[in-house]
Amino acid sequence: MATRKKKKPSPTETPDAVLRAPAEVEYAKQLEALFQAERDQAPASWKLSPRSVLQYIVGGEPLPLKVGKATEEVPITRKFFGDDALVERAIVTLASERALLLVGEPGTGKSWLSEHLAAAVAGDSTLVIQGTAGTTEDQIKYSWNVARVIAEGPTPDNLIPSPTLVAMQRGGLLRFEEITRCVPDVQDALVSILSDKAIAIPELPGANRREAKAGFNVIATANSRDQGVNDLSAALKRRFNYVHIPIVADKKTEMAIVEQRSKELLARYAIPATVERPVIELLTTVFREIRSGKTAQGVSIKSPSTTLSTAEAIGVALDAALHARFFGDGEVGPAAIARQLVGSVVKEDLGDLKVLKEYVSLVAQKRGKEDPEWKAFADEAQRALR
Amino acid sequence: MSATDDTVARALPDDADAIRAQVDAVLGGDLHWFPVRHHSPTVAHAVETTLRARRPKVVFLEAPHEAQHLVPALGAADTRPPVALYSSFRDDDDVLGLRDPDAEAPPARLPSWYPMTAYSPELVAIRTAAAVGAEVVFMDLPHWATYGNRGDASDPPEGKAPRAVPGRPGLHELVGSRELTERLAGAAGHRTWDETWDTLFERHRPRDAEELEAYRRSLATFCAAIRACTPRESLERDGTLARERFMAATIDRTLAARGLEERDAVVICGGFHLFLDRDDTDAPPIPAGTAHTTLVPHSYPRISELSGYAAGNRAPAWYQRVHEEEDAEQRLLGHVVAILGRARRKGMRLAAADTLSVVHHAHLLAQLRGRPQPVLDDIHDAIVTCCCKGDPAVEGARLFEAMHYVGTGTRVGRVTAAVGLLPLVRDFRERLAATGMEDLVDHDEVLKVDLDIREPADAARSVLLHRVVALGAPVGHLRDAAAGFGQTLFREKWRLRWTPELEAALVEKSLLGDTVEAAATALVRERLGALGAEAGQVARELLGAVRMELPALSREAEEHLGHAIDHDERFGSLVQAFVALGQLLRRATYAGTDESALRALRERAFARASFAVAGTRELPDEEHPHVIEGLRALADATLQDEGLDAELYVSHVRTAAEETPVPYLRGAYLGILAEVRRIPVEEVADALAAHARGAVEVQLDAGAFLGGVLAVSRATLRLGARPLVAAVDEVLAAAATETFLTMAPRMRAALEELREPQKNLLADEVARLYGEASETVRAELTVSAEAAALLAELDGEAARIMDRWHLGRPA
Repeated sequence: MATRKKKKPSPTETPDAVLRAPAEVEYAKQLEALFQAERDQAPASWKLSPRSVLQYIVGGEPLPLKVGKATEEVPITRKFFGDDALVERAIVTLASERALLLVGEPGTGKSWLSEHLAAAVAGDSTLVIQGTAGTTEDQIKYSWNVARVIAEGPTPDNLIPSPTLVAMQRGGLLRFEEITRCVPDVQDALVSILSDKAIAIPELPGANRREAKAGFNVIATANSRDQGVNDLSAALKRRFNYVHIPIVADKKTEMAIVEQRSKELLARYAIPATVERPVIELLTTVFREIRSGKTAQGVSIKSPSTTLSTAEAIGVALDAALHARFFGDGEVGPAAIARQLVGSVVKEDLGDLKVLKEYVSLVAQKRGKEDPEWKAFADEAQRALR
Repeated sequence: MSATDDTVARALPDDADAIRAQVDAVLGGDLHWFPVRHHSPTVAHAVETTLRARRPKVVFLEAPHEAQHLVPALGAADTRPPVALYSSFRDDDDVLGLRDPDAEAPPARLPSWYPMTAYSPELVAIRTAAAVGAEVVFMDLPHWATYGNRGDASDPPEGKAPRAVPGRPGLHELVGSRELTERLAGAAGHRTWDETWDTLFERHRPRDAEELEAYRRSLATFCAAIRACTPRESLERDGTLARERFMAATIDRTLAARGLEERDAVVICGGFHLFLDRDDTDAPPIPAGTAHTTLVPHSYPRISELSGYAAGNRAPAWYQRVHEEEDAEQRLLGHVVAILGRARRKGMRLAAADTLSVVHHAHLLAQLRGRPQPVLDDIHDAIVTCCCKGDPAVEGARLFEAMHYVGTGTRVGRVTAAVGLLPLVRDFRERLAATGMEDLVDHDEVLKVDLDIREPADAARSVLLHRVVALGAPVGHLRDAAAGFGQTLFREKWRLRWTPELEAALVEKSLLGDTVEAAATALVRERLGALGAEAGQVARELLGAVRMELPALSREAEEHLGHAIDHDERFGSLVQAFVALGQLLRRATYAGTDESALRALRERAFARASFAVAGTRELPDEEHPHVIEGLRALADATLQDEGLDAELYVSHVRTAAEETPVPYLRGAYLGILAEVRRIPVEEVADALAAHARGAVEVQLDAGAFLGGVLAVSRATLRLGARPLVAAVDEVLAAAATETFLTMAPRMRAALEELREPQKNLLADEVARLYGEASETVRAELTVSAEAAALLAELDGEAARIMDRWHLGRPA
């Protein structure tokens, strides 16, 4: 019998590969190495001590990891770039009575930080509620298997726990994304949970209260551009400590973020390309100058209505690499960056097209007279903007 | 190795062994050196413990030698820190070469401050030395001597006008590049050097002799490393080596004179100087001059490094709390309660639960950061985390203000009566008390005072404040001074603030007199003498003398003013004198005093100013605003005061209008004549319209002429806008395209100077002018011919409808 030659699967087609594993899976080795090296006392239900959580988030010296009889050295990479004090304040909040609200402009890494905090503290970053205008109180507390309730009445077995309830029962962390997208009535469902650390289930007879285990807490995120839309009530505000994540302040840090994250993403998509440092520098320079409305030489330029976050810059680098891989010569150069830039800058307001045109003609073209990288960027950007 | 040693070791330069050897050599000697940071509560406590344990016979302090006589005053029980040794040097013979040789400049003055808080190791050492019976010797070189003994003696700090120099540099200043402090902060994982210092050296008080010695060694090692990072040339250049030679010589000389051994002494100095060259005792000479040294109150805001004092700290009141309250928990709670209380008073809604959260959070942060107790950074981070609901830069503004306010404090020190205040300073304090303003010297913060000088108590306050300001002492200023004379005739709004410089300035002015009144009189008399025939300035001095209630001086100033008015030929100066005399006259009328002399002076000033109008005919553009201001002031006066010779003024203005070659001024002169109703507005309009009939150059002058007219016009615009608008229209219509394009911006610039109601007035006239004949309005359309035709059709239809509804024309 003839055997059919098996097609070689792509990395994302392997049976056990997922497109994006949660942080505790993706960085399992680092977490385990930190666990093995742990010297401090971890708070109740925490997988690591606060100091190890900090080390996991901001990076540190490589640590040995014992697997069976073998030992390997695991680098502890930096996950969050920025002011380490912010991370410290966030970690300490999670160890306190209050919940944590990460607030900032879109693309500043709030969800990213939230996920890694949950992975390091609780070993599970998947207990997530995504806040939307349609989020209901059931999704925050619990719901019922209606068919079984009709047949058997409300029993503990028929109850469908929400991520909140699961986190409470495990002493874990609930991640509540974009909390200010929820309507105030729904948000307020959290007030009693954060105060009493318990959920009452009046439908159940007898012991109808589920109490949180020590270690339970909530990490919420909120987009500062949404403030004032569904602002938190005063009662809820009091139960949260706010940690504001600013847009990355300095160029060096922003370059490091773009470099590391684009490398990780290219590896995930199995793109055999790297975005070289000069290209990353050009990309971050463009983002920083358009965002701030001022060039490095102090020339004032217009700023777009869009938030040009670092995450957006990473997206441009990745898109440029994908485009170069599948439609180009595989090289991620300034021209590839220029092609992807339009979509990043011009989103909702067509007026932003003018902003980009102004930047290209006033700044990029001028630099292009002396710098071939900038010339390639300016020429391609002009073609894309026509 | 302690955590402190470990952190310091990680930041040390490569030659760490050499540094350790250097430290061993100094700390192992018979002479006991204790390195200090100038305002550090933990170091202060360690110094006290050391002195009580060693009971030396003499204590050498890094403090100015010229202030040796003030040691008892510093130790006195009724001296309440913060205080400062204030030292002032006048270089009478220009020994230091700081005076500008090309100018008749007064001798250079070099003031210097050595502030001390309750937790300054030097002050604690003085008080502890008294308790253990040790003599205290100030061993530092007088500050002015460093100028003569620097590598760059010809380069004073601020060109030829040296400003107050701090008595000693901060640690940051000692490390030019801040390389070590940054490395140290980096090695410890801290954000700032202050955080590192607090973590390493303010963590807790040494509990026994062993900890004390370890603490001393850590401080010494750190300071040795700083010194290793500092090039010798820079030490020579900034005078450090000269100071150290003096210190070494003072130690040797004193020990020899007292017949003491090195083990009988303790040296307390900035850690940097521990490593001075003991064999280099070639002390520099101290330049001769007039020196005055005293002890003056100081304040926490001035101790704060944010005030620019390099050797200061970041939160004087917080470190005072650290000094006073040994229980770390209590001081943390007290500080947080004070900050949140302040934020509440500023409108933030914060509950007691927030206080608890902050305290808890601060502890957790300290624990995470490896500190036994929270330092200021932990407290501030905890406050922002628990109380700021959003972006700290926006929502946190009130919190940051509260943290700064409470951390800095407002405390002002007090000096023992034994020091003996200079008579002028004592009189100032007595006057403050007599006028109920003694609060001013209790806190270093802004005090807003509103005075109604018709009230006797307020009048006395006003007099005192004006006198002190006249002396050049920085007591504050009038809040609405910029609003002009008239705004402050009977009401004065002062913004006052005590500063250490206030009393220092009074000390400097002591030569002028023993009382504030006498000194102010002498100073104003000095200024008057220097003025000569400058009527405006003299009148201002006279007004000042009246405000300061200096009657004798007022009479002198009146005489001087009469002379100045008769000899001053400058229009602006004479108008200033005239305006000031108007103020004085109103005061005299209110006070019911004889006003005849003032009235006569004012009439003379008016007449002289009228004659001086002729001198304004050809003044350059930059002088025009003053001319306009003066012309208007005199015109207003002629309308209000029948005693003035209005005809004289008018005749000189008329002559100036005929003779001036400057179109702007001609417009202004004619505009003024219309304002005082000596010519009709139509005459001004005709003069403007005449430009239309002239050559191109004349046409172009129309804008400037109009500018002059509008600059002085008030009533003219209200009553005669129509002929003026018609004239402008005529000028514009007559201009060829090129001329029009040049002229239009000038016309527009003239109109832009008007206020909104005046613009509306003119706009109404333009509308009226063109509304009567709308069909003659020509507009350049930027649309196609078809579209223009359509628009015209629509316009016509709209006009017909409006006519039907009686809306088309004014009733």
